[in-house]
Amino acid sequence: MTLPPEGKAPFFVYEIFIQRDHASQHEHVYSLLAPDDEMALVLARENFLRREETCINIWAVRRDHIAATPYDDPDLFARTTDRSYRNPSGYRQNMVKWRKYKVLAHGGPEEGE
Amino acid sequence: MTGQWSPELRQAIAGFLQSLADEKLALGHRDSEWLGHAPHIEEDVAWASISQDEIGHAELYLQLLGDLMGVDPDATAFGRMPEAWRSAQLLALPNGDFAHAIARHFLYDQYDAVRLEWLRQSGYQPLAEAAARIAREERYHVVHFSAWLTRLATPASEARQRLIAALGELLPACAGLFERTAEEELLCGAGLLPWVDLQTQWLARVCPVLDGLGLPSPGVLQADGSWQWRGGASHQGGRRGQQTADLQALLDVMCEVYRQDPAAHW
Repeated sequence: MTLPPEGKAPFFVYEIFIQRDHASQHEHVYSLLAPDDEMALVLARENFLRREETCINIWAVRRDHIAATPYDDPDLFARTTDRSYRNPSGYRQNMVKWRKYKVLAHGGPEEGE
Repeated sequence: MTGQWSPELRQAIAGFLQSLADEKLALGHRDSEWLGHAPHIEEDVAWASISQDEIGHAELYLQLLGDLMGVDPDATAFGRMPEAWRSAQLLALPNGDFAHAIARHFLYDQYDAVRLEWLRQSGYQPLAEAAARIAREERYHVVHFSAWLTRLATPASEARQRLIAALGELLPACAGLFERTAEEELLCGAGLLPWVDLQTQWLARVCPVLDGLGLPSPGVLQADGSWQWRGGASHQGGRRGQQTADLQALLDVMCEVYRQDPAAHW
Protein backbone atom coordinates (compact mmCIF):
# COMPACT_ATOMS: atom_id res chain seq x y z
CA MET A 1 0.00 0.00 0.00
CA THR A 2 1.39 3.35 -0.97
CA LEU A 3 0.80 6.53 0.94
CA PRO A 4 -1.48 9.10 -0.71
CA PRO A 5 0.01 12.49 -1.56
CA GLU A 6 0.42 14.93 1.28
CA GLY A 7 -2.26 17.41 2.21
CA LYS A 8 -6.00 17.66 2.26
CA ALA A 9 -7.59 15.41 -0.31
CA PRO A 10 -10.27 16.90 -2.56
CA PHE A 11 -13.38 14.82 -3.14
CA PHE A 12 -14.82 14.49 -6.63
CA VAL A 13 -18.26 13.56 -7.91
CA TYR A 14 -18.21 10.12 -9.51
CA GLU A 15 -20.96 8.73 -11.72
CA ILE A 16 -21.59 5.06 -11.01
CA PHE A 17 -22.62 2.42 -13.55
CA ILE A 18 -23.36 -1.22 -12.75
CA GLN A 19 -23.50 -4.28 -14.99
CA ARG A 20 -25.93 -6.87 -13.72
CA ASP A 21 -24.81 -9.81 -15.85
CA HIS A 22 -22.74 -10.61 -18.90
CA ALA A 23 -25.74 -10.18 -21.19
CA SER A 24 -26.41 -6.62 -19.96
CA GLN A 25 -24.78 -3.27 -20.47
CA HIS A 26 -23.62 -1.02 -17.68
CA GLU A 27 -26.46 1.15 -16.40
CA HIS A 28 -26.10 4.51 -14.74
CA VAL A 29 -27.44 4.21 -11.19
CA TYR A 30 -26.37 7.32 -9.30
CA SER A 31 -23.41 9.39 -8.21
CA LEU A 32 -21.31 9.79 -5.08
CA LEU A 33 -18.39 11.78 -3.68
CA ALA A 34 -15.03 10.07 -3.29
CA PRO A 35 -11.38 11.10 -3.12
CA ASP A 36 -10.20 8.72 -5.85
CA ASP A 37 -11.18 5.88 -8.21
CA GLU A 38 -10.64 3.03 -5.77
CA MET A 39 -12.68 4.63 -3.00
CA ALA A 40 -15.44 5.39 -5.52
CA LEU A 41 -15.66 1.70 -6.39
CA VAL A 42 -15.49 0.62 -2.75
CA LEU A 43 -18.27 3.01 -1.72
CA ALA A 44 -20.38 2.20 -4.78
CA ARG A 45 -20.30 -1.46 -3.84
CA GLU A 46 -22.19 -0.80 -0.61
CA ASN A 47 -24.26 2.22 -1.60
CA PHE A 48 -25.89 0.92 -4.75
CA LEU A 49 -25.74 -2.83 -4.31
CA ARG A 50 -27.14 -3.14 -0.80
CA ARG A 51 -30.34 -4.68 -2.08
CA GLU A 52 -29.29 -5.95 -5.49
CA GLU A 53 -28.94 -9.67 -5.83
CA THR A 54 -26.61 -9.84 -8.80
CA CYS A 55 -24.01 -7.54 -10.17
CA ILE A 56 -20.78 -8.48 -11.86
CA ASN A 57 -19.13 -5.19 -12.55
CA ILE A 58 -19.05 -1.54 -11.45
CA TRP A 59 -17.75 1.45 -13.39
CA ALA A 60 -16.89 4.71 -11.67
CA VAL A 61 -16.20 7.78 -13.77
CA ARG A 62 -15.37 11.23 -12.51
CA ARG A 63 -18.04 13.67 -13.55
CA ASP A 64 -15.42 16.20 -14.65
CA HIS A 65 -13.85 13.55 -16.89
CA ILE A 66 -17.08 13.18 -18.84
CA ALA A 67 -17.40 15.22 -22.01
CA ALA A 68 -20.90 16.62 -22.39
CA THR A 69 -22.81 19.03 -24.60
CA PRO A 70 -23.90 22.34 -23.12
CA TYR A 71 -27.53 22.88 -22.10
CA ASP A 72 -27.63 26.45 -23.34
CA ASP A 73 -27.19 25.59 -27.03
CA PRO A 74 -30.51 24.05 -28.13
CA ASP A 75 -29.65 24.62 -31.78
CA LEU A 76 -27.22 21.72 -31.48
CA PHE A 77 -30.27 19.45 -31.42
CA ALA A 78 -32.43 21.42 -33.83
CA ARG A 79 -34.65 19.47 -36.26
CA THR A 80 -36.57 21.99 -38.29
CA THR A 81 -36.90 20.19 -41.63
CA ASP A 82 -38.72 17.02 -42.42
CA ARG A 83 -36.63 13.92 -41.99
CA SER A 84 -39.31 11.26 -42.04
CA TYR A 85 -37.45 9.53 -44.87
CA ARG A 86 -34.97 8.42 -42.20
CA ASN A 87 -37.65 6.43 -40.38
CA PRO A 88 -37.86 2.71 -41.25
CA SER A 89 -41.63 3.08 -41.81
CA GLY A 90 -41.94 1.94 -45.44
CA TYR A 91 -41.33 -1.70 -44.53
CA ARG A 92 -44.78 -2.09 -42.99
CA GLN A 93 -46.52 -1.17 -46.27
CA ASN A 94 -44.21 -3.57 -48.04
CA MET A 95 -45.26 -6.38 -45.78
CA VAL A 96 -48.95 -5.82 -46.56
CA LYS A 97 -48.26 -5.98 -50.30
CA TRP A 98 -46.10 -9.09 -49.95
CA ARG A 99 -48.87 -10.87 -48.10
CA LYS A 100 -51.41 -9.83 -50.72
CA TYR A 101 -49.47 -11.09 -53.72
CA LYS A 102 -47.44 -13.96 -52.27
CA VAL A 103 -48.39 -17.46 -53.42
CA LEU A 104 -48.48 -19.68 -50.36
CA ALA A 105 -46.91 -23.14 -50.24
CA HIS A 106 -50.26 -24.85 -50.64
CA GLY A 107 -51.16 -22.64 -53.60
CA GLY A 108 -53.45 -19.66 -54.10
CA PRO A 109 -53.55 -16.30 -52.41
CA GLU A 110 -54.52 -16.02 -48.72
CA GLU A 111 -58.20 -16.06 -47.93
CA GLY A 112 -59.94 -12.77 -47.74
CA GLU A 113 -57.54 -11.00 -50.07
CA MET B 1 -21.73 -37.23 14.12
CA THR B 2 -22.57 -35.04 17.04
CA GLY B 3 -24.18 -37.96 18.80
CA GLN B 4 -20.76 -39.49 19.39
CA TRP B 5 -19.48 -36.49 21.27
CA SER B 6 -18.94 -36.39 24.98
CA PRO B 7 -20.84 -33.76 26.95
CA GLU B 8 -17.54 -31.94 27.53
CA LEU B 9 -16.82 -31.77 23.80
CA ARG B 10 -20.35 -30.65 23.03
CA GLN B 11 -20.05 -27.95 25.68
CA ALA B 12 -16.69 -26.88 24.26
CA ILE B 13 -18.12 -26.45 20.78
CA ALA B 14 -21.03 -24.50 22.20
CA GLY B 15 -18.68 -22.20 24.07
CA PHE B 16 -16.57 -21.77 20.97
CA LEU B 17 -19.57 -20.87 18.82
CA GLN B 18 -20.77 -18.55 21.56
CA SER B 19 -17.48 -16.67 21.47
CA LEU B 20 -17.61 -16.34 17.68
CA ALA B 21 -21.12 -14.93 17.85
CA ASP B 22 -20.41 -12.61 20.78
CA GLU B 23 -17.59 -10.86 18.98
CA LYS B 24 -19.68 -10.25 15.88
CA LEU B 25 -22.59 -9.00 17.99
CA ALA B 26 -20.42 -6.58 19.95
CA LEU B 27 -18.66 -5.31 16.85
CA GLY B 28 -21.90 -5.05 14.89
CA HIS B 29 -23.44 -3.02 17.68
CA ARG B 30 -20.47 -0.66 17.92
CA ASP B 31 -20.58 -0.27 14.13
CA SER B 32 -24.28 0.56 14.25
CA GLU B 33 -23.55 3.46 16.57
CA TRP B 34 -21.99 5.27 13.62
CA LEU B 35 -25.34 5.57 11.87
CA GLY B 36 -25.77 9.22 11.02
CA HIS B 37 -22.36 10.16 12.44
CA ALA B 38 -19.87 9.06 9.84
CA PRO B 39 -17.93 11.95 8.32
CA HIS B 40 -19.04 11.16 4.77
CA ILE B 41 -22.55 10.27 3.72
CA GLU B 42 -21.74 7.42 1.39
CA GLU B 43 -19.48 6.03 4.06
CA ASP B 44 -22.37 6.23 6.52
CA VAL B 45 -24.44 4.01 4.26
CA ALA B 46 -21.56 1.62 3.68
CA TRP B 47 -20.96 1.46 7.42
CA ALA B 48 -24.59 0.63 8.10
CA SER B 49 -24.31 -2.21 5.61
CA ILE B 50 -21.17 -3.52 7.22
CA SER B 51 -22.70 -3.46 10.67
CA GLN B 52 -25.67 -5.41 9.35
CA ASP B 53 -23.30 -7.92 7.81
CA GLU B 54 -21.61 -8.44 11.17
CA ILE B 55 -24.92 -8.99 12.94
CA GLY B 56 -25.87 -11.39 10.16
CA HIS B 57 -22.70 -13.35 10.76
CA ALA B 58 -23.47 -13.45 14.47
CA GLU B 59 -26.90 -14.80 13.60
CA LEU B 60 -25.30 -17.54 11.54
CA TYR B 61 -23.17 -18.65 14.48
CA LEU B 62 -26.14 -18.39 16.83
CA GLN B 63 -28.14 -20.62 14.50
CA LEU B 64 -25.40 -23.25 14.73
CA LEU B 65 -25.45 -22.89 18.49
CA GLY B 66 -29.22 -23.21 18.52
CA ASP B 67 -29.11 -26.33 16.35
CA LEU B 68 -26.51 -27.88 18.59
CA MET B 69 -27.83 -27.02 22.04
CA GLY B 70 -31.48 -26.22 21.43
CA VAL B 71 -31.18 -22.62 22.65
CA ASP B 72 -33.10 -19.75 21.07
CA PRO B 73 -30.72 -17.43 19.17
CA ASP B 74 -32.58 -14.28 20.26
CA ALA B 75 -32.51 -15.27 23.91
CA THR B 76 -28.80 -16.02 23.56
CA ALA B 77 -28.08 -12.71 21.90
CA PHE B 78 -30.17 -10.46 24.13
CA GLY B 79 -30.78 -12.38 27.31
CA ARG B 80 -27.32 -12.82 28.77
CA MET B 81 -25.51 -10.65 31.27
CA PRO B 82 -22.00 -9.39 30.45
CA GLU B 83 -20.29 -12.03 32.56
CA ALA B 84 -21.67 -14.70 30.25
CA TRP B 85 -20.12 -13.12 27.15
CA ARG B 86 -16.98 -14.55 25.58
CA SER B 87 -15.95 -11.76 23.23
CA ALA B 88 -12.46 -10.28 23.29
CA GLN B 89 -12.56 -6.88 24.99
CA LEU B 90 -11.35 -5.16 21.84
CA LEU B 91 -14.79 -5.42 20.27
CA ALA B 92 -16.66 -3.74 23.12
CA LEU B 93 -14.33 -0.75 23.38
CA PRO B 94 -16.41 2.38 22.96
CA ASN B 95 -16.17 4.09 19.60
CA GLY B 96 -13.58 6.81 19.45
CA ASP B 97 -13.22 9.02 16.40
CA PHE B 98 -13.47 7.81 12.82
CA ALA B 99 -9.80 6.86 12.70
CA HIS B 100 -10.31 4.70 15.79
CA ALA B 101 -13.25 2.97 14.16
CA ILE B 102 -11.39 2.32 10.92
CA ALA B 103 -8.31 1.05 12.75
CA ARG B 104 -10.28 -1.31 15.00
CA HIS B 105 -12.23 -2.78 12.11
CA PHE B 106 -9.12 -3.11 9.96
CA LEU B 107 -7.26 -4.99 12.70
CA TYR B 108 -10.20 -7.21 13.56
CA ASP B 109 -11.17 -8.01 9.97
CA GLN B 110 -7.61 -9.09 9.22
CA TYR B 111 -7.85 -11.34 12.26
CA ASP B 112 -11.21 -12.67 11.13
CA ALA B 113 -9.75 -13.46 7.71
CA VAL B 114 -7.09 -15.76 9.17
CA ARG B 115 -9.54 -17.21 11.68
CA LEU B 116 -12.11 -18.03 9.02
CA GLU B 117 -9.44 -19.81 6.97
CA TRP B 118 -8.80 -21.87 10.08
CA LEU B 119 -12.48 -22.56 10.73
CA ARG B 120 -13.00 -23.71 7.15
CA GLN B 121 -10.78 -26.66 7.97
CA SER B 122 -12.96 -27.72 10.85
CA GLY B 123 -14.14 -31.28 11.04
CA TYR B 124 -17.44 -29.93 12.36
CA GLN B 125 -19.16 -29.51 9.01
CA PRO B 126 -21.76 -26.83 9.83
CA LEU B 127 -19.03 -24.58 11.20
CA ALA B 128 -16.81 -25.12 8.16
CA GLU B 129 -19.67 -24.24 5.83
CA ALA B 130 -20.67 -21.18 7.83
CA ALA B 131 -17.06 -19.99 7.83
CA ALA B 132 -16.88 -20.37 4.05
CA ARG B 133 -19.99 -18.25 3.58
CA ILE B 134 -18.87 -15.57 6.02
CA ALA B 135 -15.39 -15.42 4.50
CA ARG B 136 -16.84 -14.44 1.13
CA GLU B 137 -18.69 -11.47 2.63
CA GLU B 138 -15.75 -10.47 4.80
CA ARG B 139 -13.66 -10.03 1.69
CA TYR B 140 -15.41 -6.72 0.98
CA HIS B 141 -14.87 -5.59 4.56
CA VAL B 142 -11.14 -6.13 4.25
CA VAL B 143 -11.06 -4.14 0.99
CA HIS B 144 -13.14 -1.36 2.52
CA PHE B 145 -11.11 -0.87 5.65
CA SER B 146 -7.74 -1.27 3.97
CA ALA B 147 -8.73 1.47 1.52
CA TRP B 148 -9.73 3.85 4.31
CA LEU B 149 -6.66 3.02 6.38
CA THR B 150 -4.45 4.05 3.49
CA ARG B 151 -6.27 7.33 2.96
CA LEU B 152 -6.36 8.25 6.63
CA ALA B 153 -2.61 7.67 6.74
CA THR B 154 -2.07 10.63 4.38
CA PRO B 155 1.13 12.38 5.44
CA ALA B 156 0.90 15.71 7.25
CA SER B 157 -2.80 15.32 7.89
CA GLU B 158 -4.97 15.48 10.99
CA ALA B 159 -6.30 12.06 10.08
CA ARG B 160 -2.87 10.50 10.31
CA GLN B 161 -2.31 11.86 13.82
CA ARG B 162 -5.66 10.50 14.95
CA LEU B 163 -4.89 7.14 13.36
CA ILE B 164 -1.57 6.89 15.16
CA ALA B 165 -3.25 7.74 18.47
CA ALA B 166 -5.95 5.13 17.84
CA LEU B 167 -3.43 2.43 17.03
CA GLY B 168 -1.69 3.24 20.29
CA GLU B 169 -4.75 2.08 22.18
CA LEU B 170 -5.87 -0.69 19.86
CA LEU B 171 -2.69 -2.60 19.09
CA PRO B 172 -2.06 -3.83 22.65
CA ALA B 173 -5.75 -4.70 22.93
CA CYS B 174 -5.38 -7.06 19.98
CA ALA B 175 -3.48 -9.37 22.28
CA GLY B 176 -6.88 -10.39 23.62
CA LEU B 177 -7.70 -11.96 20.25
CA PHE B 178 -5.02 -14.59 20.58
CA GLU B 179 -5.71 -16.00 24.00
CA ARG B 180 -6.25 -19.71 23.57
CA THR B 181 -9.22 -20.90 25.60
CA ALA B 182 -9.83 -24.26 27.18
CA GLU B 183 -12.59 -24.86 24.63
CA GLU B 184 -10.19 -24.36 21.74
CA GLU B 185 -7.69 -26.75 23.25
CA LEU B 186 -10.38 -29.39 23.64
CA LEU B 187 -11.53 -28.93 20.04
CA CYS B 188 -8.02 -29.10 18.64
CA GLY B 189 -7.23 -32.08 20.82
CA ALA B 190 -10.34 -33.84 19.54
CA GLY B 191 -9.29 -33.19 15.96
CA LEU B 192 -12.22 -30.91 15.18
CA LEU B 193 -9.86 -28.05 14.45
CA PRO B 194 -6.19 -28.07 13.43
CA TRP B 195 -3.62 -26.54 15.75
CA VAL B 196 -2.62 -23.16 14.27
CA ASP B 197 -0.77 -20.05 15.31
CA LEU B 198 -3.23 -17.34 14.37
CA GLN B 199 -1.09 -14.58 15.81
CA THR B 200 1.81 -15.25 13.46
CA GLN B 201 -0.54 -15.35 10.48
CA TRP B 202 -2.23 -12.15 11.56
CA LEU B 203 1.08 -10.35 12.04
CA ALA B 204 2.12 -11.44 8.55
CA ARG B 205 -0.96 -9.75 7.12
CA VAL B 206 -1.09 -6.64 9.26
CA CYS B 207 2.53 -5.65 9.79
CA PRO B 208 3.51 -5.20 6.12
CA VAL B 209 0.52 -2.91 5.63
CA LEU B 210 1.09 -0.78 8.72
CA ASP B 211 4.85 -0.68 8.18
CA GLY B 212 4.37 0.25 4.56
CA LEU B 213 2.28 3.23 5.65
CA GLY B 214 4.76 4.22 8.35
CA LEU B 215 2.24 3.55 11.10
CA PRO B 216 2.76 1.86 14.47
CA SER B 217 2.80 -1.87 13.97
CA PRO B 218 2.21 -4.77 16.38
CA GLY B 219 5.15 -6.80 15.12
CA VAL B 220 8.90 -6.64 14.64
CA LEU B 221 10.45 -8.11 11.52
CA GLN B 222 12.78 -11.01 12.29
CA ALA B 223 15.84 -12.08 10.37
CA ASP B 224 13.99 -15.00 8.82
CA GLY B 225 11.28 -12.72 7.40
CA SER B 226 8.64 -13.58 9.98
CA TRP B 227 7.00 -11.13 12.36
CA GLN B 228 7.10 -11.35 16.10
CA TRP B 229 4.72 -9.71 18.54
CA ARG B 230 6.32 -6.44 19.55
CA GLY B 231 5.16 -6.69 23.14
CA GLY B 232 2.60 -4.97 25.28
CA ALA B 233 -0.81 -6.41 25.89
CA SER B 234 -3.97 -4.96 27.38
CA HIS B 235 -7.66 -5.77 27.55
CA GLN B 236 -7.14 -9.48 27.90
CA GLY B 237 -9.41 -12.11 29.35
CA GLY B 238 -12.50 -11.41 27.29
CA ARG B 239 -12.53 -14.89 25.77
CA ARG B 240 -12.50 -16.35 29.25
CA GLY B 241 -15.39 -14.22 30.42
CA GLN B 242 -13.54 -11.28 31.94
CA GLN B 243 -15.50 -8.32 30.67
CA THR B 244 -15.43 -4.65 31.55
CA ALA B 245 -17.93 -1.87 32.04
CA ASP B 246 -17.67 -1.24 28.29
CA LEU B 247 -19.61 -4.41 27.55
CA GLN B 248 -22.10 -3.60 30.31
CA ALA B 249 -22.81 -0.24 28.70
CA LEU B 250 -23.05 -1.85 25.27
CA LEU B 251 -25.56 -4.43 26.43
CA ASP B 252 -27.61 -1.89 28.34
CA VAL B 253 -28.34 -0.27 25.00
CA MET B 254 -28.41 -3.35 22.78
CA CYS B 255 -30.75 -5.29 25.07
CA GLU B 256 -32.86 -2.42 26.32
CA VAL B 257 -35.94 -3.23 24.27
CA TYR B 258 -35.65 -6.98 24.72
CA ARG B 259 -35.30 -6.67 28.47
CA GLN B 260 -38.55 -4.76 28.75
CA ASP B 261 -40.41 -7.92 27.77
CA PRO B 262 -38.28 -10.96 26.98
CA ALA B 263 -41.36 -13.02 26.26
CA ALA B 264 -42.70 -10.67 23.59
CA HIS B 265 -43.15 -11.88 20.02
CA TRP B 266 -41.58 -9.65 17.33
